[in-house]
Amino acid sequence: MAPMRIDQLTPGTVAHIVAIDLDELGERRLREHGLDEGVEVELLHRAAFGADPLAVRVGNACVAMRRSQAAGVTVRVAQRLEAAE
Amino acid sequence: MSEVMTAPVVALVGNPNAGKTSLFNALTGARQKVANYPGVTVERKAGTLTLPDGSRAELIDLPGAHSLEPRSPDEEVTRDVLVGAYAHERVPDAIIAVVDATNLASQLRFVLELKALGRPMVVALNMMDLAERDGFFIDYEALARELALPVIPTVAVRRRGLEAVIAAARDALNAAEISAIRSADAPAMLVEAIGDMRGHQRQARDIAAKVVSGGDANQMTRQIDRLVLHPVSGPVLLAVILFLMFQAVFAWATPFADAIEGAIGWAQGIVMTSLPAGPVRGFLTEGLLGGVGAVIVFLPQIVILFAFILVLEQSGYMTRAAFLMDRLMAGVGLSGRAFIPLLSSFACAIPGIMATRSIADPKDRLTTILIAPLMTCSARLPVYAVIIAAFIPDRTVGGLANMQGLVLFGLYAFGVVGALAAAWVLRLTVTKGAGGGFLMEMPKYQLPAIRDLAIGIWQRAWAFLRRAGTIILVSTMVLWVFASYPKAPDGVSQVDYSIAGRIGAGLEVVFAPIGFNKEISIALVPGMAAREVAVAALGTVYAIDADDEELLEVELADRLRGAWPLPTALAFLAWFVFAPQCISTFAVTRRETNGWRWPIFMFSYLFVMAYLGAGATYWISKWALGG
Repeated sequence: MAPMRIDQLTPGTVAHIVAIDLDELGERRLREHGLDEGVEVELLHRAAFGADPLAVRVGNACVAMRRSQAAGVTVRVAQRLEAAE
Repeated sequence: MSEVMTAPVVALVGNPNAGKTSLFNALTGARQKVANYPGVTVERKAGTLTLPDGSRAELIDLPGAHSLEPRSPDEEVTRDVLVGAYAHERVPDAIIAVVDATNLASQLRFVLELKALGRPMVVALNMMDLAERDGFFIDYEALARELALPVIPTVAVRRRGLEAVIAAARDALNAAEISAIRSADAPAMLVEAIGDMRGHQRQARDIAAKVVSGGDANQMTRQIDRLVLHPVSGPVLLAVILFLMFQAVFAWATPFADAIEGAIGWAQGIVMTSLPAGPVRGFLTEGLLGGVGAVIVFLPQIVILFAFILVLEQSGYMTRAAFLMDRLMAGVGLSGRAFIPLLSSFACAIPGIMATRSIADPKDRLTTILIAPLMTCSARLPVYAVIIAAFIPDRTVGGLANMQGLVLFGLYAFGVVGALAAAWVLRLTVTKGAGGGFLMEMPKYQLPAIRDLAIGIWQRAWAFLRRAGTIILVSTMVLWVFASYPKAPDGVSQVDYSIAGRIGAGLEVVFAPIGFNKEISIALVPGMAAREVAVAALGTVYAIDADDEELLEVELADRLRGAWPLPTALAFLAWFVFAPQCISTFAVTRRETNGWRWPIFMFSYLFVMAYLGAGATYWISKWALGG
């Protein structure tokens, strides 16, 4: 599947991080919270009123971030092993 | 090396939410000291660790951090202490790194950074019970081999693994004695530690992949979050929790407060019957018991409020609340992170202002500090409670809520709206600039441990009582003297004639336009020491003018009802929503902002808001009541 950004994911879809493109400080802060190339992520929740911030599963942790930060993270949706529905 | 027999220092370090404080509580029990680092106001939590051989070490709980490259003033303290760059703290002889066992892949990165510092170190693999519940199998012996560090599985909240941690800490300290600490190398080692972020990330994940098997992201937490973070049910639930919290503060505390009040009345009675009339008896009943008693009565409410806040924090809900509030906070130029210090400010602005140290962005942080005093702190409760009891009827509205509770909720809401408006204006003017974003880990839900709750509540209740016993006692005593002397001749009101009365008469010129009488003007002065002193002061001022027989029978609320028109009472409430009535808040703001500029600014803008708010309340209610 084509790469997308975390904020474009449908809730419940599992994806892997391909790249983090933010300014240096922003990138470091995301990395400190466990984001890294290859790490599994899943969009869990969007807040009410403007769908910002987002709750994102990063590996085994749940991280809250603004949409603008999530938009700096490119991901690739995992291959679906079983095509449910 | 010095031969002085000083206890070695062991530091607890870890990510926020790794269970560091629980482990600290479990290891040190009630034998801990909470103090401030000199010069700055990060809490220094230290306790005594008794080693297996009976010797002792000092255990310090460093602020939670993600990295040795600090993002916030909090993390800066942690980094500086660890590399020996902190003037007021000895370099730790050993480190206990606390990691959340359910999130190893991410948290091991920080462990690798810490390890690069070259200090003797122990890894406490905490929350092992949650890891087991989620089906993780962690080969901690393999982890110890990979890290080349001792790894101890622990469950801090259940007190599991404590002896092993202590034994490992002792071994680490022994190692520390053998290898002289190379603190001169620390800066170079620090550069190395933080230089290779990606390398550490890869290494951490490789290790985690080797030692962790099975497991599933916490299903229970995900289920709860479906409700708690839901766009509709989430905000509704938050509103319900906050509303319940404030209703409980008023309703549950009543029997306890009544008991304390009864005890004070009983003590006053004993003094009245056992001492002859005179200055000593007057001082004991009116000054000491009347003044300090009027404040201690509010201990139950403060304990309940802190209990709620601690439960919200320890259960993991607080970060969800921050998530839900982020959008609203972003609307006024802040982030959800500001919500946590602001909620703490409902108990007291001082810990709230200190808690802003976790906010990375300096302008976000400054704005949060400036609006923190607008959150209704527990010191206002005594003021609100007396006025509400005197002027608001105690009846049920719509079969659901208590009218007095509703008014109290309204005052809290008034403060919050004022704070948001102030933040919005400040962000467009004095603290203009781009926001710092919002990034925060939301921990797994956990039942709070009774022990951690009890310790947390005890520390806060003790701080309150200490204030009542010192600053409030002293200002009440001074006021009593000022209000009692010089003695008025017959037929002249004692309060009018006294020193306090003359000061009040001067101030009344300023406050009369917003409906305040002389007694209020007098009470506002000692009320600068602490807000709740204003109640004690009103108690003292009105008691001095009353006859002795009257004193025991008429409570302050009844006396105020007779003395104040309703618009004055409402204006007084409005004043306290905004008023900068707390010296400690300015002192802490000065320290946190390194100068007088911001505390002076804070005082000025709050004074203007309070004056305008009280004035508007007075004139509008006067007009509405047909006065």
